[in-house]
Amino acid sequence: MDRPAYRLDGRAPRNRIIYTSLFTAASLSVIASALIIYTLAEGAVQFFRYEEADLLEFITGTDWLPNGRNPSFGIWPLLSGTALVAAGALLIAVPLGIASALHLGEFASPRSRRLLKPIVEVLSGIPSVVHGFFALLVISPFLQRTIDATYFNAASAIIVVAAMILPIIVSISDDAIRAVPRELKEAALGLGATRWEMATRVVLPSARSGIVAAVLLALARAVGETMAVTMAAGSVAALHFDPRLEVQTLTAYIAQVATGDIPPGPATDAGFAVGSALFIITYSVNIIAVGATRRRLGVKKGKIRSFIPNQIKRAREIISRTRNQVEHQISQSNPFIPSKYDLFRQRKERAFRFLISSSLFVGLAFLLILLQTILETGLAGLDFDFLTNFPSYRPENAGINPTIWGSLWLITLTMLFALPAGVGAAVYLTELAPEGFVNQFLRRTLQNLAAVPSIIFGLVGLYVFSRMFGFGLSLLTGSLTLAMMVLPMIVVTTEEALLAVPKSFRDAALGVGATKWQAVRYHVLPNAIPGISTGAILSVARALGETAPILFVASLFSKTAPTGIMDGFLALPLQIFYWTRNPQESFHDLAASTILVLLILLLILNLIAIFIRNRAEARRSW
Amino acid sequence: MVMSKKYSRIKVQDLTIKYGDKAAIKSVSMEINENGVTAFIGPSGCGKSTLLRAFNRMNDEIPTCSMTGEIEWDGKNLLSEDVDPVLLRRAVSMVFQKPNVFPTSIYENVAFGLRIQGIREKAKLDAIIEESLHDAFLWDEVKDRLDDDAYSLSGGQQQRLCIARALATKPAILLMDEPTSALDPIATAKIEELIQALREKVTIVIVTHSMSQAARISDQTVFLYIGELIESGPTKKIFSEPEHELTGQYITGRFG
Repeated sequence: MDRPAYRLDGRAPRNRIIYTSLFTAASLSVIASALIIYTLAEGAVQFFRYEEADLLEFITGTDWLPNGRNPSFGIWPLLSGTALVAAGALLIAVPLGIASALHLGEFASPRSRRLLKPIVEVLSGIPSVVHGFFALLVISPFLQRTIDATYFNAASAIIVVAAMILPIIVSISDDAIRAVPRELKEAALGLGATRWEMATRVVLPSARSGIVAAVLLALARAVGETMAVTMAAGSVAALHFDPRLEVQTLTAYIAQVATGDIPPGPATDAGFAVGSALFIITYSVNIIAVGATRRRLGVKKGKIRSFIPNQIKRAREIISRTRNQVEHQISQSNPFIPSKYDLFRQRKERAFRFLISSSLFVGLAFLLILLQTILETGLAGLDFDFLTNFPSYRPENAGINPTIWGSLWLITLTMLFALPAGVGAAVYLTELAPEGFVNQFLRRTLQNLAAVPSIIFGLVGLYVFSRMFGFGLSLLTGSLTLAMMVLPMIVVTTEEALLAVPKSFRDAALGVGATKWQAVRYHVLPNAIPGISTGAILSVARALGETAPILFVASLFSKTAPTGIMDGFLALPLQIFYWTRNPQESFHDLAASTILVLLILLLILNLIAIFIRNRAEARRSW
Repeated sequence: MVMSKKYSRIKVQDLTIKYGDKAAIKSVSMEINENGVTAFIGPSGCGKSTLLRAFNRMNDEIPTCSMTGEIEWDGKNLLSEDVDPVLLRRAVSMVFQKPNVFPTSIYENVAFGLRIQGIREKAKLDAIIEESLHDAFLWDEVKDRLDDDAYSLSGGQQQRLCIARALATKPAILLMDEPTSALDPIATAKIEELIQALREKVTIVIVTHSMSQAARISDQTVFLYIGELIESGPTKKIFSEPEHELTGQYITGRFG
């Protein structure tokens, strides 16, 4: 048989256009980050040019009085408001979240796990503005009756923010707990540990770094949370730590600027300085969180740090020595008769298992009350007229026709920008880019971008797209802003989908002489499409429910549906926000009806995602 | 570590273990001598690990796994509902295939089984930990660094630490699931030597994929094939004149 002539000199052609465009897509995160930093820095500099503003006073001052003749810009009241809400939310969500994760990971049967996990997912899918509605119109009145809270109060914000960060803590801790090697758990059980002892003495310490990361990410989210806090906690910046009273957070002030409640001038530009402070805080927390996830099991050498100071330890030993007059026999004579201590262990096991299994029901109860309230107040107004009518000052005539169209335009355009960019970036980073400094830098940038509070994207949209590029208050501005925000999410879900395709597929293609791109194009991408679509749909859902980023750039008074990308627009979550804040109660019912429409759309999107995932899993042969 | 009491032999009667509907162990009956080494051999997938994990009810931890039959020891059926696996595992300890040390110090690894039983006195812990590390041939190598991370030990040392950890609760029976399969030949030799020393003190049941290991260290050998017990008896006899044709083929390396 004749051998073909092999050509071994030179190199296989590389598709320059593809490489360049994919690299560009991957670099967009850097551009987005640069725009954020530019906006915040530029805006802050402009603010400090005012003679009323002073950097030292800003950092150290304890009065935040932006309006009036003698304004004062000391950030501490906003910081204390933020700290109060975030700390309160963590105080509720951390114990509940870790207990829930432990129950899901170690104690729940696979069947009840399948039933309980969706509660967490549904809770994480509820848009912030819906939580705000619930906090202001359900939780707050309850707190006014029971603990003498004011109409706006920190406590109601704390409760809904806790519900918002609970899913973060549960899902990340759950991942960390499930990543604890089975061997370690078996080692504990094999030595006669009860499941509770195994969980607390082996599983939790081994999963510690993941749990710490979960808490930190939840903290960053709580600090950056805007809509619910704005709606529930109020707009009085006061330096106190009483959850029954009104507070203003960093994010709430920026939102106040966005909604035009603040006169132009230094008070408005202060939003950028506050945004800078917010950015620095969340960025630092995120950096520490990423550092915590990177510390893997057993990498650390030397002594394991003990959290208990030595003195306490020693004191405990003395106490236990005296208590242990009753000698614990390591009874060899009959291992089957439980000692007194064993009986105590059994009771402890039962008590704690009951306790943590009930933790998930707190989340479930919250969810059920929320949904029930919204159905009760919103269902009556949800009719054909409501969907086809236009907004109106008269609640009986008001409808959400242009709002629905606005939202549909917005998410379509957003995905048009974000999907190619996100998928391209993911393909470049996971498949084509050489590992190294550039790759790592791009990845970190994406990670950090994902942790930027959504209201900051709003500032960028206003400053860069609307003013600098001159796109104005248009769909184009809104969708570019949202695209920046969902980009990291699309990259992450796409990467997961790509990595789920077995390496052997790539090897097989490369083994017969395909280039890297050909292997990706013909063997990896086609198999990753269900995963990518699922991620994309979930990103659409996220964009659909977001309010804060478009708070600056939507036009409240657009009474008609948009007809082109330069038109002004209104979106469903914004409509909910405005109607909830309207003092007239009949508008609250309209807000509830709008929430129902939004939730139904989100439900449909999620069902589609689940359908695609299940079908792909059923069809997959590998 | 002196046994205060002589135990009867372990009698396995008509033991069937299923994962879902699939039987991994089919109606196995046998007896295991105390204070000796019993080796389970057989090709991979024959159920030897599953059988081993029945003795301290580790199979209970696998939701789909169900067991019928009896394992009789010390007048009890170990599989019956009223035997608490948590208490059982103190008497029937286990060493696993991969060294599974906990991510804490060497000291805390050995202390684990004792602490969960409520032993808190430092002096008592110190004494038992030293004794266990001695018994596991590890004391001299680690006595100056008990507070070091257990991961700083070599693989062979880690496995001996796991053995020390298992010995600390003074078990009557020590189960070992291919304890040397993740180790190099030198570390393996050390563990085998250790098993020889421990046989006086505890009853050892070991699963091994290495026939030469079974021949070197065990008194009694059990040959399993696709979930069935083909042959069991004194190791010398199994390896020199096996009764069953399959056993002969397996030990001479014709399959498996």
